[in-house]
Amino acid sequence: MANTTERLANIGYIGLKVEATPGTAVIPNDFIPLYSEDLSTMLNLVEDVPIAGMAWGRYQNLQGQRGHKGKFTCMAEPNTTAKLFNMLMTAGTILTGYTITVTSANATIGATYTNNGQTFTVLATIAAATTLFVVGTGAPAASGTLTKTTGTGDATITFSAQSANSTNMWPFTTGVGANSYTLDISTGNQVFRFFGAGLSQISPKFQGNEMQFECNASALGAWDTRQLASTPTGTNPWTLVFDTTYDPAPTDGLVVGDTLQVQKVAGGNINITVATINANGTTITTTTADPTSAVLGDAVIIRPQTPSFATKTPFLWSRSQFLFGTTALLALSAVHTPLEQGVDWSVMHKFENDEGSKRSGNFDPASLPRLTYDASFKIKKFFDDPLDMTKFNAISKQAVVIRHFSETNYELRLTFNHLKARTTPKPKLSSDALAYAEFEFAPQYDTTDGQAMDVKVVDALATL
Amino acid sequence: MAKHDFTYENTSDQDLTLPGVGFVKAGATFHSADEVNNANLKLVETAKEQAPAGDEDEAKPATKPKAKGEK
Repeated sequence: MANTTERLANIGYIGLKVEATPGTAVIPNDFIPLYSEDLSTMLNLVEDVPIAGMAWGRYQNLQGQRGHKGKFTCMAEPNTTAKLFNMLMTAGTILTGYTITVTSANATIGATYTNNGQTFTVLATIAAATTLFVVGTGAPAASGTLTKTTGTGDATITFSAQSANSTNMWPFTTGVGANSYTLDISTGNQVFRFFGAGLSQISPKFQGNEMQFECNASALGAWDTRQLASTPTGTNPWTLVFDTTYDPAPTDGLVVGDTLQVQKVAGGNINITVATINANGTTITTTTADPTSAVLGDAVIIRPQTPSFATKTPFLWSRSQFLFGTTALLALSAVHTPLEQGVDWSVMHKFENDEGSKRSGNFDPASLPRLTYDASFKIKKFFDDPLDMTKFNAISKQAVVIRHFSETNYELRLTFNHLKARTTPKPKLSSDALAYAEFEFAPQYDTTDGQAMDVKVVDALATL
Repeated sequence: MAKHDFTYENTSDQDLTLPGVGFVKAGATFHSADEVNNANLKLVETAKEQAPAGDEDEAKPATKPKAKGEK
């Protein structure tokens, strides 16, 4: 029977999990604190207005080819940040964090050293210190010597001990493709599942000091509610057949193990778990409860989970740094340039069409092909540096490393290797106001570094 | 009136916080008066016991996370 009570939105959740096969749904097991969302399915009805001997225009509404898209705003914190960027960019190989006990040494962030056939990148600058934090492609030897390959620091560093710590670095590059996820949106009483989902844009939004992410998502399919085509049959296992009006394969998007609820029009609910999904795309079986009291037309929904959170402290504006330099490597160790609130960046990896490819033979999009990457970066700072004008006029290369920190070692780091100021840094004066320079950069590919940008997330995740 | 007591194990590699349950370390088990539906949890035991007479209206003690191995 239909629910008749009001529902507080906060009871809901957004859950996600990477799909082993893009477009094949999985049951989400990661949950992100959510602030708002508008993900929805567009049926794209064809409103047919033919000349048909009457003055009423719309003769019929025909089923259209669907699209599944929308936005959501969620907490920006280390452990789920890497999953979101995994939906937008190409993930590289995880780098493991190590704490190395060294003989008093100097090493600058970003410098790379080798030992034991592995490469290690310095995570934090040390000066005549004995504890060095690095991330590496594998473990160093129990003791020995680190030999510098790039960057600034001692040519060799002697170390006596090392241990893996709980931090890992996930690198994301502007490679071809990104991973596909299943997104579950729960309203507290029902799950709206979007599968084959990816992101086309991530940008930060600051609520006071707290950072949140605004994400643009699209999906290949959705599973919200289906109807029974007949009374369930059988005896443990019981068989349920779904109506095919919405789609010829109404079970697409379901997963073995999904917890469903049959909501009977006549009243009463039956909780079942999916035991098998028939390859015919219309039929499932269950062994958990007898659903044979249901009838044709009764609704079937996915029951919400109790969400679980493995989140860390969100990134904060007060713990954000903007480091400018003539190269990305120099920017990484540069002095922080304090910027005013209103700074904005976004990373985009566009879909050809946010509703996917509307190919023949299917109501849902056949694919979500992507086009090029792009990014934007806008800053606001008080005007005190004429060099900004000279850089603008000379169309000079600048690089920036944006670092958003959380807790002790966690970080979201964006590197733009080659920026050109697109708009003038000249402040626009207004009475009784400070002279602020607000300008926008156009990131471009850097031929020396071999990239335009990358994203690194330092978190506590061993897998995405 | 019979009460059901569910025991779950956090089978993920993450320490988790669950609304209504609390903090559960990776690999730890906990008891709950109510069924908990979460993909990170594995139901390891469902105990069915007879509640003492007269306590039907008594609230079930809050779910309490228990460290792995705790009896």
